[in-house]
Amino acid sequence: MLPEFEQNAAFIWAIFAIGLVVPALLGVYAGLKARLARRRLARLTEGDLK
Amino acid sequence: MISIFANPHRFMALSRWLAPVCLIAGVALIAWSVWQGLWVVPKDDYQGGDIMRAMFIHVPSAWLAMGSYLGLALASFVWFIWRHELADMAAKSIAPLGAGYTAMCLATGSIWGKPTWGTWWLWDDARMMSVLVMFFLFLGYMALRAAMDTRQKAAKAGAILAMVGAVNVPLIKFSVDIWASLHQGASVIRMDGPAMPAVYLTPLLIGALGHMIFFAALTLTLMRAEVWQRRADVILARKLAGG
Repeated sequence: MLPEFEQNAAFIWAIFAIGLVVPALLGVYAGLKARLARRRLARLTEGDLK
Repeated sequence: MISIFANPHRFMALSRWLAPVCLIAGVALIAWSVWQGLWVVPKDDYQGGDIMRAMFIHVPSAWLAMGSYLGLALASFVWFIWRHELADMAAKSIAPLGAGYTAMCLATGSIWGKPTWGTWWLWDDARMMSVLVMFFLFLGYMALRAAMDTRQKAAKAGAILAMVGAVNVPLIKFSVDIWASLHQGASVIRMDGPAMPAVYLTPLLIGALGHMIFFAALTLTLMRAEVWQRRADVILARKLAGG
């Protein structure tokens, strides 16, 4: 059940949405970057072994 | 001492378990703080009613924005003096995260400002403008690094910009005391202690701690990515040199 606010509900929800979306996007960015870098390294070292 | 922790192998072994632990702890603390901010704490009519709940997002993002810039400047300083590559990787990793948190601080502050002050933005307000300058410093740092043709040049140019830009951080902190500003003065980090009841202060501090730990987790993750990227570059260069 979502809380109800007497005033400024749209402003409050917008602020909390930004507060959750921005860190989540940063998390996705960091995760993707790490994954791509690891894959690239794995591809290059695999080539070494062959 | 610093070289013990600056060893990339030790860093990779340590960050392998530390990054996910920090991620889980950070998300849990942030979730608790959001739950408190939206559902539990009572509204404060003295602070504008329900809109004061915005502080559980805006204030941690402002602290993280300033803290991350200090982290960027410190890591740049360590690289500049001791040439520890991990310090450069830390600086490079902090920049996009710091930019994200600064953008979050600006956006949430602007939205909070509309119902509280009657305006989204004031171009002559020292607090707003000094935070905007910090946002551009983060972007400038990343653009400058990207524009350089070698890693050493990128690290050096970035470090100088980051260290010079650090002068902006105390300006942000004291801008509301030095110049006239719509922004309220400090209510937590004050010489005579926080001027806020515990019912608001506790979730605020826990939320800020959560964001700090979350930020650390992402920094470690990006640093790990950078280590892998540099290893891959070395292997590729060796392959190309060997024909």
